[in-house]
Amino acid sequence: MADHHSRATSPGLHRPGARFAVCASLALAATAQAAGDPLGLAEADLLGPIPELSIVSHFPQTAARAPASTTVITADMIRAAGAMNWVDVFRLVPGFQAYAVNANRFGISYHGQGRELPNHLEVMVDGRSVYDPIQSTVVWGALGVELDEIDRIEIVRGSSAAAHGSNAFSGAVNIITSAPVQDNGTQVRATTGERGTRRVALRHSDQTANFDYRLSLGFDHNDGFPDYNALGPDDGAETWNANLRTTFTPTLADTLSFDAGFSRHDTEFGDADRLDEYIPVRYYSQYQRVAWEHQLFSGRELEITFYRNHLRANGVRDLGLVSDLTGLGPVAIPTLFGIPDQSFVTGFHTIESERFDLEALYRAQTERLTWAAGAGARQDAIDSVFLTGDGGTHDEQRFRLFAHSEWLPFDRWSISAGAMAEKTSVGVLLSPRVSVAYELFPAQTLRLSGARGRRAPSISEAEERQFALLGGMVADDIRRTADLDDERIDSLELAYLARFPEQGIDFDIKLFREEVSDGIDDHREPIPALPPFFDDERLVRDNSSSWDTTGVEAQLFYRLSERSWARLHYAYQDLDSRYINQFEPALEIKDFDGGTPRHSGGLLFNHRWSEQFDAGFFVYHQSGVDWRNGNQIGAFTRIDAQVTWRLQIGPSRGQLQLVAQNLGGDYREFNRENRFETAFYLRAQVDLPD
Amino acid sequence: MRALGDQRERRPRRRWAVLSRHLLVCALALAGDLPTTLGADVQVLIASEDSYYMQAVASLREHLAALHPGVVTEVDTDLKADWKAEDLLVTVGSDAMVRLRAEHPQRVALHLFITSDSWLQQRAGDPGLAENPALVFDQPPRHLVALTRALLPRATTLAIVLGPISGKHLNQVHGEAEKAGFEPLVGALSADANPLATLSPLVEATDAALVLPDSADFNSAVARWLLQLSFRARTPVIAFSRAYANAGALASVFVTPEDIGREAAGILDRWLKTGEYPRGMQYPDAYSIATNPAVATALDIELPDDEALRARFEAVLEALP
Repeated sequence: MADHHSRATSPGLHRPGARFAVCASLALAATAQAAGDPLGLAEADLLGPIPELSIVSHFPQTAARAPASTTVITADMIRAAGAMNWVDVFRLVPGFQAYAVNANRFGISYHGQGRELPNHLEVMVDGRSVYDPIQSTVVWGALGVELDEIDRIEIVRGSSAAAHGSNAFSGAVNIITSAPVQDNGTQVRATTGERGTRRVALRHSDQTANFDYRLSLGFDHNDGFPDYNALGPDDGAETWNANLRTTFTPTLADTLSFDAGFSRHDTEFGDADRLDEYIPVRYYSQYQRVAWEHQLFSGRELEITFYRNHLRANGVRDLGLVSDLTGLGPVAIPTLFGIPDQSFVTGFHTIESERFDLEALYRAQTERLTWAAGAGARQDAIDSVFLTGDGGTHDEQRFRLFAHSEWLPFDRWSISAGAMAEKTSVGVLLSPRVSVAYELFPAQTLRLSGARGRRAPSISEAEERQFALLGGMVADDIRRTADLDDERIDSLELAYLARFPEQGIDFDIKLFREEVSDGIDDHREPIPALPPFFDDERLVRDNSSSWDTTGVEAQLFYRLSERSWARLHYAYQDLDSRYINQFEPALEIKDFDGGTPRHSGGLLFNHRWSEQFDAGFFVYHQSGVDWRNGNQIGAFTRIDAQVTWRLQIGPSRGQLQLVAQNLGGDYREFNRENRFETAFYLRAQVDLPD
Repeated sequence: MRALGDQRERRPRRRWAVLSRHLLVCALALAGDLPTTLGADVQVLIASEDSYYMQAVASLREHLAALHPGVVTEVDTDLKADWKAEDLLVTVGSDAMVRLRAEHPQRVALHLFITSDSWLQQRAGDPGLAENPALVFDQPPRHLVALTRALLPRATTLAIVLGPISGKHLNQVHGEAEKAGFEPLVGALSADANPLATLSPLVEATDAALVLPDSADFNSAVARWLLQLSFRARTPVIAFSRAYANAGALASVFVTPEDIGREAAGILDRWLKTGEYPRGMQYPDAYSIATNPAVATALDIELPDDEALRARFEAVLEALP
C-alpha cells in the first residue's frame, strides 16, 4: 500500500513565516488548465509547482531557472546574524559592498565601485522603488523600515535593468515586509546598547470585518562613532517612523492593499575629508501605495500598482562670519565683495523629490511557458536651488514596457528571456536579458546568462548645476553637468546550482564578467576663481569612466541537523577601471581598481540548543579597499555573535537577544573615523496577548 | 498530432513475429482456451503532453512491461481509426476520457488520471461509463481526515474548507470527520466570498484545518490566504498536494503520477491475462505523504518519522468505522 513519504524542504526559506509568505505567490503558480473545464475539478487542480522568488522576472520561479543569480535573506538569517542596521544585513550577500559612510549613512552597492552615494542598485520596499531621484541613491536612514518588520529580502545579483529599469543597472533588491495577515496582536520591542543606542518599536496587527491591517511605530536613536564626536561632527541619528499596511479581499479573486508610511530622520551629512563641513540634516519621508491584484482564470493574474514617494530634506550649517572665515575684517568685506559682512551658511538647504509611479502587470502560465508583461509610467520631480541653480521644479516622465518568459522546450532545459524598453530623457533604452539552463543531474543545473543594461541619468545627475551663493553673489562654482548619455553594462555569467534537500544543502557558484561603458563620473575643470578665496576648479559630470569586473561568487546553505544550519558565502572581484580626472591643462586618466574588495565572504552559523535557546555567530572578512569619496582602509575580519532566549511571561510570549558585534580588535570602514569597537546590544521583544 | 509511443516499441513488427503470434492464437483457439484479450495491444490516449500525464504513462509502460513482457503499448494524443477491436484502450486525463466516450461510447476503456469529480460528472450524462474501470487521481476525504487524526491525536475541532466543486463532498467529509472524533466546522467559499472574513474566524476557532481540492484557480486563491491565516492562528493545515505541503501546510496526502501508472499496470495485466477488469471508479491503493518539518517546528507539533506516521495513518484508517 503506502510506499512514498517525503518531507518538504526549501533551504532558501527556512523561517516558517517565510514559507507562508511564499505561498502568497502560489496563486500564480498553479497550473490551471482546468478552469473552464466542464468537468470541474481536473488533474491539474491537484498539482502545482513551488515558486521561490518573483523579483527576477516578475513571476515566481525557482532560483535554478531564474535568468540571474539571486540571494534570499530571510528574517531568521537577519536575526541570527545579529544585524543592527542595513550594512549588517547586506554583508550576508556575496559580491555586495555594504559599508558605513558614517555611523548612520550607509552605502550598499553591487560590484563596480563603492562610493559615498552608490547609484547603480535599485532598491524596492514591497515592490515600491525607494531609489531617490534627487540624491541618485537610496537614503537608507529615511526608509522607515525596521529590520524586525522584514519577512525576507530578494536580491538579484547582476544587472536587472531588463526587469526593473535604469536604476537596476548592477542589481536589484526587494525588501518584503511582513503582511498584515502574517501575525496578530501587539508586539513591543526595545533595544539598548553601545553608542547610546536606544530603540523602541510597537507593532499592532488586527482585522476588522472587512480588512486586515498592520500598524508599526518606531523610534531609534544613537550617538554615532566616538571618533567623529571627538573631532567635531556628530554622526549620530534619531529616527521616528510610522507605517500602515492594509489588505482587503472583497472576493476570492481580488486583493486590494493600501500602504502608507512616514519617517523623520535627523543626522549629519558630510565628507570624510572635510569633517568641519558636516551639516545637520533632517529628512522627512512619506509614501502611499495602492495595489489591486485580480486573479483571472487558469492562473492568469492582473496586478495594478500606484504609489507616491516624497522626500524632503533640509541641511545647513552656519560656518560663521565671512570676515572671520577670510580673516579680512568686517570692514573689508563690503569693500571687496560688495556685500555686507554676514554669516556664511553652507549646506544644501531644502531639497525635495517626489515620485509618482503607475504599473500594470499581467502574468500567465501554461505547462511549459510562464510569462509576464507590463507597462508603467513614472514621474520624478526634484526641487532644489542648491542642486539645480534655480528655484524651479525639474521633472521627468519615463515610460516602460517589459516582458519576461520562462520556456521549458525539452526535459531538463529552460530558456528565459526578457527585456525592458524604457523611454527616458536620453532616448528609448532597451535592456534585454536571456539565459539557458540545463539540468545536468536531478537538482543540479548549469546556467548561462547574458544581459545588457542601460541606465539613464537621474534628473539631478542630468540637470545638476551647483553654486555656492553668498548674499546673492556666486561665491563658488561647484559643479556643472555635461550633455549626458546613458551608461551601459554588458554581463555574462556561468552558474552552477545544486540543491540536495535530503542533505539540507543549497549551493550555487557563478563565474561572471561585466563590462561597463560610458559610466557617469566627475572630472575636474579649471575655472576663473571668483572670489580668489574659493576653488579655482569645478566638477563636471560626464560619461567619462568605464570598468570591467571579473570574478567568482558562491553561496552555500547547509542544514547540519534539525537544530543547526550554516551559511557560507564568498566573492572574488577583479576590477579594471579608468576614469578621466581632468581634460585640462593635461588629460589625466586615473582608475579606481581598488574601489571594491578583492575578497569578501562570511560564515553564518546558528544552533538551537532547545526550544528556548539558540545561539550563533557571523564571521565576515573583507580585503582592503581604497573607497572612492572615502579613505584607503585595510582588510578586516569581524566576528559577531548572538544568543536568543525565548520565554513565556504569563499569557505573553517574549524574546531576549544579546548581540555582540565585532568581538576582537577595532577595525575601520570607508572612513578612518569609522572605527568599530566591540559593541553589545540587548534586545527585548514581547508579544502581548490579544 | 504525432504519436508518442516509444520508438523501439512502435517499430513495425517483423513478419515472422506476427505470423508466429497468429499461429499461437489459432492453436489456443483450437484448444478452446482462448482468453478474449489474447493478441491485444494496449492503446493509450492521453489528454495532452503535459509532464504529469507523460510521467503516468512512463510508469504504466515500465510496470506493464515487467508484468506482461511483449505487450505492445501505443500512446497517442488523438483517437486512431486503426485500433483493433481486441485492443485494450486506456485514457489518461479527463479530456481523453471525454473524447473517447464521445467517439466510442460502446468500447470499454480503463480511465486513468482523472478526478472523482470528472468521473461523476461524465457518468451523469453517460450511464454506460459505469461499466468501465477507472483509477482516479484524488484522495478520498477519508484519507485527509485520517491523516489529520494521525498527526493531531488530541485535536477536537476541525475546520473544513470547501469550494464550489468540493462542496459536493460536504456530507461525506463531514461524516468522516465526525467518525474520526472531530467536531467539524465548515467554511464554504464561493467566488464572491471574502476569503479573509470567512477563513480567519474559521481557523481561529479550530485545532486543525482541512482543505479539499477544487478548481486550480480556487485552490491557489484559497491557499494564499488559508496558509497565512492558519499560521497566524497556529492552526495546522492538512491538504491534498505536495505543493501545499511545500508552501506551508503541515502535511498532505496525495497520489503521484508514478503511483497511478503502477496501479494501472496491475489492472491491465489482470485484464490481459483473464479478460476481467474492475467496473466503476476506484481510488488508488498507493498514496504519498509529504510533511513540512519547518511548519511542525513553528507550530510546536511533534512530527513522527516517516515510518511511524505511515503506520499511524494506516491504523487510523483501519479504526475508522
